[in-house]
Parts: sequence; structure tokens; C-alpha cells
Amino acid sequence: MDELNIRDLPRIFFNMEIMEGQWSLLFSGLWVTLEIAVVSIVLSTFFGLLVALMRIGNNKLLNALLIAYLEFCRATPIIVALIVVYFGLPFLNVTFSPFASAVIVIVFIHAAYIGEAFRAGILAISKTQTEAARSLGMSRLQTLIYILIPQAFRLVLPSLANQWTGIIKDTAICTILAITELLKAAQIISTWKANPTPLVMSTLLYLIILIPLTVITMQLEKRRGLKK
Amino acid sequence: MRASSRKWLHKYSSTLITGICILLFLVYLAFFSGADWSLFREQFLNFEKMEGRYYIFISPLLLVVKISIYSCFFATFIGLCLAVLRSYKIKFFDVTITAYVILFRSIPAMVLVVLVYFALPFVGLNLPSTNSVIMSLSLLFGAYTTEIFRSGINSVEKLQIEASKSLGMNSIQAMYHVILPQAMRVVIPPLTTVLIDVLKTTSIAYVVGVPELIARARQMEGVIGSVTPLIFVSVLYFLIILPVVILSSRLEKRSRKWSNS
Repeated sequence: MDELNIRDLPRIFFNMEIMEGQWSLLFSGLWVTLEIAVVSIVLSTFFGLLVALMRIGNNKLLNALLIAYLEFCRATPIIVALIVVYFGLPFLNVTFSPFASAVIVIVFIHAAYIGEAFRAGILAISKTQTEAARSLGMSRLQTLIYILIPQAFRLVLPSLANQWTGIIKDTAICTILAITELLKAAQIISTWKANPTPLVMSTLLYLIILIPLTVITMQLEKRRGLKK
Repeated sequence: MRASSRKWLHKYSSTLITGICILLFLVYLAFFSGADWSLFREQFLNFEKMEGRYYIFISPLLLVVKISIYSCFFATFIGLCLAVLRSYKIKFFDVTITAYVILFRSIPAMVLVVLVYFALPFVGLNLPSTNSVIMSLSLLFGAYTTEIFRSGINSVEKLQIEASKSLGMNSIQAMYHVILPQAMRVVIPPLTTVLIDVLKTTSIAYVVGVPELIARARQMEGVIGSVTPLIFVSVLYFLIILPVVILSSRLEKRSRKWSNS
């Protein structure tokens, strides 16, 4: 063990014999991860938009509440929130399944960030657009749906992509729950076989999903930077 | 008189309606929802049971601060070095540093921490859990700080480099005396965001058995049979991070104003 030969590294970290027959567990873990990610992305985008719409109105009380909500989400580690929801709430006889608590926590926290992004996007659209739409006889709702939201989506896309990547990354935190997602599956196989190959494989799977998203996000950010 | 009061009503009607809704909701929660509030108090806010146990949280709190400070320091160091290296536009550094940034922007913090802690011992590298967390966080946030410093360096005009060269400075002197001081101003607001993220991410250390806040809270939860320690720890985290959040949004606002004027 002490005399480490560099030629041993592939045998330790990329030992495919270890993985034989284990891929199904790893891929079922990947499937769970993707499920959590997709549900969370859809819901948090929806709620984020809702939060942004509530913020742009002139409602002082609602604004104050939503600012408090945003600051709360900025200052709370996701893992703490997850433990409180999954291990704390059962003490009050409120029990969520691991999947549900993962989705609830991720959506709760990321909706705040996405809401902030959407708000910035909507506010960045020139006021004259709203005035023009209103003078054409559109109602406020129509202005919102046909004029503001489509443009906001385009403006917000880089930060939205960034948040979505963040959501997929945060699904890995759900290992602490009793749910066999990708990282947990890898840890199970790794402990059983006493070999780190499954961990390396799961990392590669994460990277296969996340690297394209990161590259796209970086491209989008660069393009936005050029436009300014 | 009447017109003005109507105007007032029109302006604040939505606020009023929201207030009434929230009030009704609270009344419903408190009296009609059938929730057991004494149970809530006993399980979640039972600070009598915590009495005399608060000292247990001192050392994990210091540990969290230590991990954050070390990780921030190393991440800033990595970011600064790589950004400076990249600014010389040498092909090899360009490619490797971009690859580093993409790789560590993509990998989830949890996965990296688990990988470093559980996989490296197989090659004889037995890092203590705290160090493995510091190492992963530094590598992870080094990618973000590299980007931040790079945009800071890019924000300094090219003319200034030429001017400092014509004054007889070599490229290292120009970097140190001219570019970096100006880049700092652009860089500091986003760096505070990284600090927030580092503080939040230290909580992941719980998974690899670092005796930090959550681990201690969960132990105590078992001892006293109440979730109060967990609530206490989440409030603690909130209180550590909130000042940085406020500082960060202040700085951001100021820099935005500065760049607009």
C-alpha cells in the first residue's frame, strides 16, 4: 500500500471488473437523481416566476415578505433545511417521503434565487414596452404574458441555466436521506466492493450531465457580456 | 378629501388585501387548523432542555469558521494565480485553466467531498476529514474565483498596460502595480458571494464525519429527544451568513451605482 506504483492507478480507480453486474444499481440511482432534478427544475422555475410577478407589483407588504424569504434562502445551507424537513418534521407527525422532502427543499430555496433572476429580467425591459402594450388596449395580464415574460425569459436565460445546473448539483446532497440516488448508489457499491471505482464512475456520470450545461451557461454569460 | 382618500385606497388596496389574507391565514393556523402547537413548542423550541449545553456548539462553530477561512484563502489564492497566468495568453495555460474551470464548475460539491474523502485513501493518501473538506472546497471555489479575477483583470483597459510598459515596467510589475489594484475594486463584490457559498457549503462536511454544527446537533437531538438543537444550529448558520449576505448586496449595489455613473 505504501509503495504506490503509478501503474496501479487504473486498477484502483477504473477497475471495470468491480462494476460488472453493478451498473443497474448505478443507473437506477442516476434515474432517481434525474427525476429529482427535473421535477425540481420545473417546479422551482414556475414558483420563481410567481415570486417575481409578486415582487414587481407595488405591494409593500408582499415585497417585504418576499425579501425576507429571499434573504432566508440565501443564508440557509440546503443540507440544514433538508435535515430539518426530513428528520425534524416527523417529530410533529408531519412525514414526507425522501423524494418529496428533497423536492420541497430544493424548490423552496431555488425558487427564491430564480425569482430574483426573473425580477431583474422583467425590470430590465424598458417601461415604454409596457406603456405601448397598454396603449394598444392590452390588459395588464396580457402585457405580462405576451410582452414581458417572453422577453424576460431571453434576458434571464444565462442565470436560469446557472440555477438549473445548481439544482442538479444540489440533488447530490440528497444522499443524506434514505433515497438511493446516484451518489448513494455509488457509495453502497463502493463500500461493498471496497474499491473506489463506483465513486469515480458516478462522478463521471455527473460530469457527463453537467459539463455540457456548464459550457452552455458560460457561453450564454459570455454572449450577455458582449451585448452590454 | 374624498378623492384623496379614494386615491390612497387605490394605491394601498393590494397591500391591505394581502395583510388581511395573511392575518386570516395566521388565525386559521393558530386556532382552526388543528395543529398541535404545544407539540411544536416542545419539539422545536424547547430551549429549557438545551440549557447548559450551549458550550458544546462553540468548538464546531470555530471549526466551521476555520474551514471557511482556509477554503476562502486557498480559493482566492488559486483564483488569483490562475487568472494572472491566463492573462498572459499562453496557449497551454489557456487550455488547462479553462479545463480546470469547467471541470470544477460542473462537479457537485457533495460528490467531490465524498470522492476526496473516500477514494483517496485507496492510494495511501489518508487526509483527515477536515483537511479533505478544505481541499475540495478550495479546488471547487478556485474555479469560481478564477473567473472572477479574470473578469476583474479584463476590466482594466489595455491602454494602461501599454502605458505602464512605456514607463519601463516589466509585465509582472505592471500586473502588480497597475492592473491588480484596479481589478480588486471590480472583484470584491463577487468575492463576497463566493464567501457566502463557502460558508453554506461547509455544512457538507457533515457527510464525511467532521464534528461540525449539524453533526453535534444530531447527536444532541438523540440525547435530549427534541429537534431544538437542529433549529438552534439552523438559526446559528443563518446568523453567521446573514451579515455577509447583507454586506454582499450592499457592495453589489454600490458597484452597480459606480459603474452606471
